Amino acid sequence: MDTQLLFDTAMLAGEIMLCSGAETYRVEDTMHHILKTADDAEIIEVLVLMTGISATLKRTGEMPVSIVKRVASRGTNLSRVVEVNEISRRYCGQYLTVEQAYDMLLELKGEKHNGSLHPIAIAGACAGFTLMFGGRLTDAALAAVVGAFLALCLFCGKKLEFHAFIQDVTSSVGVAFISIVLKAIIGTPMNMDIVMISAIMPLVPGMAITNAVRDTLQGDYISGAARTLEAFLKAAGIALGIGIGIAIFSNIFLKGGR
Amino acid sequence: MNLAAETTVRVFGAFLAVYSFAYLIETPKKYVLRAGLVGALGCLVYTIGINTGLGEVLSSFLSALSVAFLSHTFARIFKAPVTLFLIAGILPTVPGTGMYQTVHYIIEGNQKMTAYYFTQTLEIAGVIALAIFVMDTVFGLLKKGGWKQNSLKYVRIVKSKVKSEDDVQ
Repeated sequence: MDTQLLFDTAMLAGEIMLCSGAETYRVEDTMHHILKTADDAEIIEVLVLMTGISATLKRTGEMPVSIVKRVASRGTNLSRVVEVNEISRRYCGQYLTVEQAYDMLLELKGEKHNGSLHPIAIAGACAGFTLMFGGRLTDAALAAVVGAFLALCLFCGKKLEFHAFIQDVTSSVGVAFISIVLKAIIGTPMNMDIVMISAIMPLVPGMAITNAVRDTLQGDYISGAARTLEAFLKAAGIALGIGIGIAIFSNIFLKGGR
Repeated sequence: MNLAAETTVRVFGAFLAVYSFAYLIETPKKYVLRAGLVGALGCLVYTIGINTGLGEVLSSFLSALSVAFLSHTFARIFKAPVTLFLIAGILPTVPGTGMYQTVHYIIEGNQKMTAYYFTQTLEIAGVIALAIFVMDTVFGLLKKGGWKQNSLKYVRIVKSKVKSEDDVQ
């Protein structure tokens, strides 16, 4: 079995998983299982941090190989995590050769996900949260409008390649802006607080909190701490954005306070 | 009667919200509906908790606990990573309201209410962490004891026979 190809496969699997929002221990676990299929391996070490991967493999009679891989951008795409998991399981169960596994992973990495329904999904999430927080149907409809605007803000932020923190701030300013404008147009029938809370819910760091806890529990303290910091930074960004938005726009559009 | 209707609307809202969010984070199609169910359960438990006067923090804890439990159960039934259900399902419990109210009162200059909501937000975030922690530990114990899951049944098998591929859960 070709050491280089095996290594590339493991690295690729790890990179895709880490970029798609898998927990650190899951990435380590998967890479370890893939490298372990080299039957004459003497040393297998995998170290995954939130921002990079490094791995070492030494086979009998060969020099040890180490590769470090920096992972810059992280998003959330759970179906990729599941698919890599599936490919690795099938490879480890010897249903796939290493070449096939590598090709499948490459194909998976190249796949562009279709985000055309995302605005509808964000609008649906905002409307749902409004109902959950006790809003009425009119509020839910308005929240859907705000959600669509939020999707636009996120899309623009992505196109302009904003830093994650700045994107949170600008998106929340956008949410505050559109909510206040709607409130100014519609008036009393709208419960602005609930609409605004629902609209920021898709942004809140639920995933960062979840993964922070699970990483810490597994003993990956560096990743756990990093994710905790990420959660706090996200929350601070949203709070800052909403704060700026309300402070500026409520004076412009809502005369005489709220 | 009125309470039941209101609860139903809220739970439906949570289902819709979590369903949409699960779609947003590219959960595989066949799991999106189940993630929505997890979220709906979380909201149901939370609403019941609030209505029986347990307070926001304790209700959040029980809600997160039930979400984590159902996520782990689903993960074992459908043989999928726990994260699929947990990330979207936990969302109704995340203290978005607390964050918003904190900022709101900062702008109004009301320090007392700011401190109240800020503390509450941190407490809720803390109990969510605790709940996930507890459930991970409970389900981790089953695995550590050499119990192999076979759908919902746990079968105790000899340690050497545990196939390593099954550890990737």
